[in-house]
Amino acid sequence: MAIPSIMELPSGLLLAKIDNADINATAGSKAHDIFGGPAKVLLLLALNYDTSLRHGKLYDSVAPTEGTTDPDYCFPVAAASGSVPGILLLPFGVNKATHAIEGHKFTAGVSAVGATTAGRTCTAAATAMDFYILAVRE
Amino acid sequence: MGTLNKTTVLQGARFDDHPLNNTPEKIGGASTRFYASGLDNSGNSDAHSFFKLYNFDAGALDDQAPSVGTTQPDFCYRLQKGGVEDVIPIAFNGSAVFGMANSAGQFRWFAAVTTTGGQGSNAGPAATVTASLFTDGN
Repeated sequence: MAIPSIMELPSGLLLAKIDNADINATAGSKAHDIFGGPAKVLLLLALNYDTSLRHGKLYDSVAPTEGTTDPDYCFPVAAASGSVPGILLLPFGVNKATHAIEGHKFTAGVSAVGATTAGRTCTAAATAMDFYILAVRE
Repeated sequence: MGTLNKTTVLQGARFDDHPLNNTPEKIGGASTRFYASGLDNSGNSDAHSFFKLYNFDAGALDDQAPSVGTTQPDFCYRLQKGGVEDVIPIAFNGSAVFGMANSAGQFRWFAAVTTTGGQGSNAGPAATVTASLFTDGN
């Protein structure tokens, strides 16, 4: 069964899936908005089905311009091997004392892209990435 | 506690209480993997700090470092205002090898902390961020 783009669980947790068609980046275009308002992000899972390393980026912003706006978070996702994707799982705000995943508040909104290049740059789009984000609306 | 039944345990290099600012620090040698870090941003109670990792070609003499504010970071994570937290990018490649790998050859991992995300500027935090860093070798 396909996971809908955003699923709200009874607890209020939001599970968002941003698939390949939405996270792809091209310089000058607008990043895909996942949450168009404040949210606390708890966990990110990024999958890369490409046979080359790709880069994911998250912005605390609504409709940031790819290649121009600096992402607040960026991360490499390893190349796939055969049918096994490269995987990156990133918890946000792991409290050093309690070990709880407390999350990070995105005050403007949450936007994401996948690109072939690191950091701010979005030279070309990643063509085979999926993101899953667990968050709470703030 | 029960007996661990794994035959392999993550091993490698560990930097404790290492000060980080806008001067890049080499934290991993050839073909090293970055596992995790514990970061203390408590000296910057009113400002986020951005922890960055660069997968950078250090040159044949291993004497070149990324230019913070110019070089695109491969990994960027927004530390919360005054936060003390663990950063754990749980990464696997398609062959399920754990850790964020740097590129082959002369590439090394470097770490720095600045006040802006992505490429950003080279402005360092008002107070040094203290880090414990874990790799599989330096």
